[in-house]
Amino acid sequence: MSNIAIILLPFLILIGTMIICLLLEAFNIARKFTPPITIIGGFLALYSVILSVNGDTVHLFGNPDDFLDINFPSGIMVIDDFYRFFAIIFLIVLVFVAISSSDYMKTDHNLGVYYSLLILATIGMMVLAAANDLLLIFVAWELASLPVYSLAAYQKSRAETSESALKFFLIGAMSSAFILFGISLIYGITSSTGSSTPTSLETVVTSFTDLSLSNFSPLHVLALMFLFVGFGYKMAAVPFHAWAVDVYQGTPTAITTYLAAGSKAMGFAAIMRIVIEGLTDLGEIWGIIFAVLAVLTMTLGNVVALVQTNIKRMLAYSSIAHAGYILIALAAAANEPVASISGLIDISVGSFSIAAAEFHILTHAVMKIVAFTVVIVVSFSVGSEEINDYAGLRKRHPWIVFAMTIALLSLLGVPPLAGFISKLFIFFSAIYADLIWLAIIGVLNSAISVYYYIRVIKLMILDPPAEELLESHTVSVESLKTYRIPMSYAMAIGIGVILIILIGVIPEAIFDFAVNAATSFTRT
Amino acid sequence: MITQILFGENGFGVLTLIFLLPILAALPTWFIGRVREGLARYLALLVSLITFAIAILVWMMYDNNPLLPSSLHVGHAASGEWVLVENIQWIKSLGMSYSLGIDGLSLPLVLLSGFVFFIAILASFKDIHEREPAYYAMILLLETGVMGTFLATDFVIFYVAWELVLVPMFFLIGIWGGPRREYAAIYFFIYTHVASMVMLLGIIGIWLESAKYTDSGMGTFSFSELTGISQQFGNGAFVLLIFLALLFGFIVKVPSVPFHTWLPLAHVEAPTPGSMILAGLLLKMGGYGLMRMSGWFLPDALTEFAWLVAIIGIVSLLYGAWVALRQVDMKSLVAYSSVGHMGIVLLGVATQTQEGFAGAQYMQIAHGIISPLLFFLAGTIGHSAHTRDIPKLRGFAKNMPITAAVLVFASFASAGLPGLAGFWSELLVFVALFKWAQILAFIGIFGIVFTAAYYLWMLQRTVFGDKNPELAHAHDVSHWSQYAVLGLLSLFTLVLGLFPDWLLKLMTEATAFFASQF
Repeated sequence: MSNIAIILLPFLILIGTMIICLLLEAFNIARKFTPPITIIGGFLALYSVILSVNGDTVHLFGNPDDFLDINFPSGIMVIDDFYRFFAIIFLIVLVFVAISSSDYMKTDHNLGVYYSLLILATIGMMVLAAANDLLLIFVAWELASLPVYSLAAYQKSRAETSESALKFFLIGAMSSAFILFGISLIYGITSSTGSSTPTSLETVVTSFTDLSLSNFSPLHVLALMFLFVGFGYKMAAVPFHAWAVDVYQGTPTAITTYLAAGSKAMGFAAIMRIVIEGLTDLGEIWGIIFAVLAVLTMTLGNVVALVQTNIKRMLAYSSIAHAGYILIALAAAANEPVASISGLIDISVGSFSIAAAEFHILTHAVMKIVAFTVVIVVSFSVGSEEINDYAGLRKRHPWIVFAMTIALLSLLGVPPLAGFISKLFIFFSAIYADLIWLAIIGVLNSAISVYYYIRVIKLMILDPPAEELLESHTVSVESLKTYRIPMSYAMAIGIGVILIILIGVIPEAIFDFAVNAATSFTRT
Repeated sequence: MITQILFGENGFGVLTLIFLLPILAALPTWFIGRVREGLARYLALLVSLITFAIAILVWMMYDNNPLLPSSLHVGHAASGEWVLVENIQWIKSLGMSYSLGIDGLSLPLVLLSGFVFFIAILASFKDIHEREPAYYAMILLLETGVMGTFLATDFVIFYVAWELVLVPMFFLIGIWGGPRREYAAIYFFIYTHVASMVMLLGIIGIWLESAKYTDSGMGTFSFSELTGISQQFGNGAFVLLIFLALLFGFIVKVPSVPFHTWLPLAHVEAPTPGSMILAGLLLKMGGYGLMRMSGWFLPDALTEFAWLVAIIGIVSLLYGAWVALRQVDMKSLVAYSSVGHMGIVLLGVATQTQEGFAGAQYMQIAHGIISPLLFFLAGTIGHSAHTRDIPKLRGFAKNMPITAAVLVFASFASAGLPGLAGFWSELLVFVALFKWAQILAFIGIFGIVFTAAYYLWMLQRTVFGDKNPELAHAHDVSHWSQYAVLGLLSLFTLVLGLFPDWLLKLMTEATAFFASQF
């Protein structure tokens, strides 16, 4: 880990891949080669991150004299385990989306552009996870958001796609404005103290650390509020969730996967970096804010999901509910006691809860990838995204139904699947932080959620195929009979299911890595 | 070599085999069934037989049976200790491990599970003809869950196995069940899942509480460590909260009034073998959890809440019997009788004495054999007479003499006729109850009376009397598997009634330890 090129290798690989994709586009051979190249590039980048897990913390670009010095104690980027954890999530999502896109987008044009936008967004997210400076966070935020806006609008001939892309863009632009305004307020606070790096997170931390509960200024609170709102949009936390459902529904499903698994994780990465790292001493305030957001988010997500008839909308609400579970862990992070129990927490305050949140973000991403890929397959095979049309699906696609069942049971939290382990950690963190009431509300929500997941399983497996299915659809009988699942989807779903089971059965390595990631950044 | 493997000195041992053999065989069973439809049932039967045989081997090892070479004897287990323990770290930083073990409390239940699964698969031969491969795969999956619940000596593994049971049971009810199967399956799933989630909170709570008392200062999920510090838990508010959370999880599974509503529905709609497993084993998981928690981990909390457990028990006993009187569907009647009988288990535990506990455990085993028999009879009657409604079954003994005879036998056994399995448990529990709280024993006796009453009334309305002309088509059991099921279950009912000492001796160590905790 001595060379800056090695440290930044994942970024370099991704940038290289992106350039190749664009070049192929120029030579008009993009259609054939870009999907495999993106998958390989994404996989190589993933591998290079995995090779460096549990590694050192390095600050980059901080030394004004030697820009590439990697031994300087501070910098605008920090390559630590927290970054690595999220980079792994983003890259997994990239690889999976690229795999399923290779079939999903095959009739569209300019595939080189499509894949390079996908890679560009991933680079933005990774930079965001590593950013140690408010301005860089904002730049990375935009870098990650703008390509996704265009991706959401990619199939522009479909009316609902254009509508949802426009909605997505407007809301996204607004949330960026909120974030920028919050940052400028913080800049105002910190620069008045004469700091030479007024936006670096260390300065921000110091500025907030000096405050006690009695003497914080309204300006601090206002700045925090703006950041909360801005990031809350990306996390789709209630009350900033309304866009998510429409956008998830209207967007091409491959990109919906990217939104649900990737963009959401980015919102959490940002809020964890800024709020939790920065503001440990104001924990009592943001702990309550997180707790209230958690209750609202998961309750609304679960209750509204009950009445959805469209599977993408249902999964979108389930995604909102899961954001609520993650917020439980963030609320717990604020209240986590200082190492009262040795062994578990011989690490700094809040890190167990943060680890639980990170773990759930990872498992949620994998589960949603599988679920949405199944939705793609079914939408091609049956020609519908209505939940009722999943009736009797097992007759047509037994393996797809098996995969969907595993994914839904995991979302529901049935052991020994990944979703159970991460939910266990989250409730663990809540009780550990003495938030028993929050854990109980979480459990009640989990109970509500049983119904809408089980309903889909019931329809797929227990119900006979509805006879009127054929008549009510535009799809002809022939195409209903002959749909063969393309290799790419089968691969994405298969690997996803294996991951769900493996993470559930042997979670130790990943959990320890998550704890490391949490420790590395709460210590700063 | 063999000794090493069996004792799990290299990590995995014989208990892992019992735990994982069924789930590993589930997928092959499904595949083979897809290739040749008829083979799945025989493979499943074989796997369950092997599992049962291994369970018997474990029993002989535990019992230091002279038939085994002495190198396979486990020796005499210390009180409150597990033997044949396997312990592999799972998530080290939270102190979770993959840990299995066996003691005087769990061994009888493991044997019972091996037996009932074997019987249930036999009972499926005549009943289940639809989607056989998937059916037998689900049964095997279920067996892993049930076995794991009894074998686990780590709370997280316990919970994983406990929850694992839900999914196959959901499909068993939902695919192969009666007319309202989908409603029943979803109802069952949601009800028990909610209870499990509450239980999970209790499990996390016990981890946090235990951190105060362990040497390392770290919380633990390990049963043996929790047992070691069980006397220190005391009855603080947090401990009582944990007790209530766990108790809720357990009594929903038992199930006790007022959380019993899922049971009659699930039973009526489940296929016959599903009902047999549900009544024979799934309810026992709740009883086992209650015994384990109150005797081994939180004895002081039980002392505090004994009145609550006893009241729930007595209400279940009376209410179950009372409602059973009014049932029309025979399966529903047996289901309510289960609610009542499991109430006796709660009563036995609440007395906190050796007799009471032994009686409760005896009831678990006896009921685990008698209720599958009753459900099998009800299923067979329903299958053959096309109705399970008691008023319509008048005089069915004329067409189905064997079924009727066994029904009489099983009903008497369930009502606690001396000489049959049900009697000893009621005797022991009521002896203990008289010492502990006479008024409760006095009230409880009425439950026994009602139990006898509804069985006699049911018999009087069905077996005897003039034959209902609609039953002309009904025919008696004819398939060899049906004879085997009836014969084996009746045999064990009789054996447990005549030689209670076999079973009581097996659990002496556990009952003594239970009593010593108070």
